Amino acid sequence: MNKLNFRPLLAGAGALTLGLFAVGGVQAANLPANCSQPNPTIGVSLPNTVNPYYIAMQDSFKKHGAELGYTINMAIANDSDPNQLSQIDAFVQQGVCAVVLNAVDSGPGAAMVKALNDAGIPVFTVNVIVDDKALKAQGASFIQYVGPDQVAGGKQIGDQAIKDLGSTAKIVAGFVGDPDQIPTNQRDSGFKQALSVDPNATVVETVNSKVDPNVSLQVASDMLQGHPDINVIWADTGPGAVGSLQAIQQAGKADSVKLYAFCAADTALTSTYAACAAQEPADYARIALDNLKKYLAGQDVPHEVLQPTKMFVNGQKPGPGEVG
Amino acid sequence: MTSPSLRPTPATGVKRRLPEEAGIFLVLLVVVIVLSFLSPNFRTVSNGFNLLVNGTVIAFLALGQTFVLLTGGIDLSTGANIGMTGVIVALLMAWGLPWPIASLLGLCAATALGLVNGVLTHFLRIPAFIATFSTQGVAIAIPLIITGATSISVLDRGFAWIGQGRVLGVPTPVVLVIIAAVVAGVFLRMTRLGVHIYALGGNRAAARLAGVDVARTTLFVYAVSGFCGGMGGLIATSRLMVGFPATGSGNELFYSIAAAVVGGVSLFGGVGTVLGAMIGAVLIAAVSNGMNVINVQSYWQSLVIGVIILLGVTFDTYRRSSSVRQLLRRGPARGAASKPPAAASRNRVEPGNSA
Repeated sequence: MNKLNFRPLLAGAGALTLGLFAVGGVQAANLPANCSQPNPTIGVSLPNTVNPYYIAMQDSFKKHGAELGYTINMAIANDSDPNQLSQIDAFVQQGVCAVVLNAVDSGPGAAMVKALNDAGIPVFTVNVIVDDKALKAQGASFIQYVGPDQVAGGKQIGDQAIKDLGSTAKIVAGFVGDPDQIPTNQRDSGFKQALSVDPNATVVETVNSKVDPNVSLQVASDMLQGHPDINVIWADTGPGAVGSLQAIQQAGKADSVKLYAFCAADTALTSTYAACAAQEPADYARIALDNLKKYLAGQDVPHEVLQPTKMFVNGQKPGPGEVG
Repeated sequence: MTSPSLRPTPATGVKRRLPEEAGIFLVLLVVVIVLSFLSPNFRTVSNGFNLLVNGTVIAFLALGQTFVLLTGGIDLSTGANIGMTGVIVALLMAWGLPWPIASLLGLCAATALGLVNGVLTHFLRIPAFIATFSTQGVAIAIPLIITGATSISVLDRGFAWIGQGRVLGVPTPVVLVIIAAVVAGVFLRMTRLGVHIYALGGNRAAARLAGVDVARTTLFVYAVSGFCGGMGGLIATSRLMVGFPATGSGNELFYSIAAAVVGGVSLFGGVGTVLGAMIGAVLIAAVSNGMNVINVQSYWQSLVIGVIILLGVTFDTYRRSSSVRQLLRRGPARGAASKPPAAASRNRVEPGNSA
C-alpha cells in the first residue's frame, strides 16, 4: 500500500488557516458592527470632570453627538491611567463603533490606543497627544488628533510679553507650571521660544502648581520670595493663573510683576494680568465628532488638526467655555 | 501642652525629661538653619510670614486630625472639607449673605460633616478609615454637583480679611491658628473631656469602664476635625477669593496626617500633643517653602519631603523607644508606682490595645 502523501493535505490546511487569518484581518480592518446601527455608539473617555475644561468638552460631546445621531457613552477616568484603561476595555466589551480618547497621560495613552486597535475599533484622540514613541513601540496608531497647538499658544503669549515689555527689556521670568505633563511643557517651550529673541530675558525658576489654584498661590508666593527680582510670571494653566494672580497681589507687586498665562475662567485681563491664551474645548469635541462622521462615511481625514488658541489682553475677558 | 497626668514631676522622684516635642523641634531648627544658610531670601521676615501663612491650612487640618488621632481614629475627609466649605461660603456670599454669616454657615456645614463621621464611626461601628473615606467622596462630590465644576468668585472684599488681613502686623490666618492651637492645647490639658480623649485612645475598653462617655467624646473629636477642615476652607477661599471645588484634594490630607505624626501624635491613639502637631505643620511648611525659595526642581520636592518626614519620625521613634528602655531598666514596680495609669499607657509601643 502506498504511503499517503500528506504534503498536499498540509499545504491545503496551511492555505485554509492563512485564509482564515486573512479573513480575520480584513474583518479587523473593517468598521465594527455597531457602526451599522441606526444610532452608532461612540465611547468618549475623559480624564476628569473636576476641571471646567473637561466639563465644556463633555457637554459638547453629548450635545453634538446627539445632533449627529450618535449614542455617546461617556467614561470619566478620575485622573487615573489604570481606571482609563479599564474603561477602554469596557468599551471593547460593549463593541462600540469608535472611541474618542482624551488620555489622562500621554505615555500610558498608547496602551489604550493599542487595546482599541486590537479590537478593530477606530480611535480619535483629543487634547492630549498620545506619545509617539510609545505608540511605535507598541505598534499602535490612531486615526486623528484634534487639539490646541500648545507650542503656538505659549509662543503667542510670549510674543505679547515681548511686545508689552520690549525686545531688549530685562525680563526675569518665573514659571508656575505643571512639569509632569507634556501639553503644559509644550506651552512652556513656546513661551521660552518667544522670550529667546530678548538677550536680557532669563527664566529663573519653575514651580509646580499641580493645576490647583491653592497650590499655585503657595508656590508662586514662595517663588516671589526666592526671586524678588522676578517681573514676569508665566502660568501655563488656568488654575495656575488664578493662584499666581493672587500671589502677585498679596505680595504687593501688582505694579512690578506681570502675569502671562493660559486663561483663568471668568477672570478679566488687567494691567497686571496682561495677556492669556484660551483653548476652546467644546470646539475640539465638535471637530473630532465631525471628522469621525466623515471617517465612518469612508472619507479621508487629516491625521492632525491643530487649533490656534485665542488671545485676550488688558480690558478683555474670556467668554464661557474659553479656558486655559 | 502635654496632658498633665502624663508629665513626670520632681515630686514623684523621677528626673525631669526634655519635652516630648524637643526632638521634632530640633529637626525643624536644623531644617531652618540649613535653608537659611542656602538662601538669604529664606531667612527674611516676609518669607517667615509667607511660609507660616502657606502652612496655616495644613496646620488647621493637623489640629483637627490630632483630636481624632488621639482617640485612635483617623479623618480622611478633612482635605475634601476644604473645597466643600469654600464653595458653600462662596455660594452663600454670591446669594447676598454678608461674609461673617456665610462663614459661620460654612463652618456649620464643615462641622456637620465631622459629626456625620462621628455618628458613622461610633453608632454604626464603621471603621473610621472606611467611614471617613466614604464621606471624603461625598464632600468632594457636593461642590462639584453644586457648581458643575466651575469656580465661584468672591466679590465681598471684607471676606479677604480671613486669609489676607493682618492683626498687629501678623497675618490673620497665622493669628487664627495660634489662637486655635492655644485653645486646643489648654482644652486637652485642663478639661475633663480633654483627658477623656487621651483615655479613649489609650485604652477604649478601660476608658469606658472608667466612666468615659465614649459616644460624646467620639462625636466631639470628629466635630472638631470637621470644624478645623472648615477653617482651612475659609482660609484657602479667602486667600484665592474664589470658591474652587477641587481645592484641598491634593496633598493636604496626607500632609495633615504627616504633620501630626511627625509631631509625635501616635496613629494608634492616646499619645501626642497639639504643640507637636503644630511643629510638624511648620516643619512641612518650611520644607515646602524652602525648596521653592532655593529653586529645587519640583520632581525632587516630594522625595525630599518624604525623606524628611521619615527621618523625623525615625528620630522621634528612636528617642521614644530609648525612653521606654530606660523606664523598663528602672523596673516595673518603681515605674508603675511613679506614674498614674494613663502615663503607663502613654509610653507603650505596641499598637494593638487601642481598639
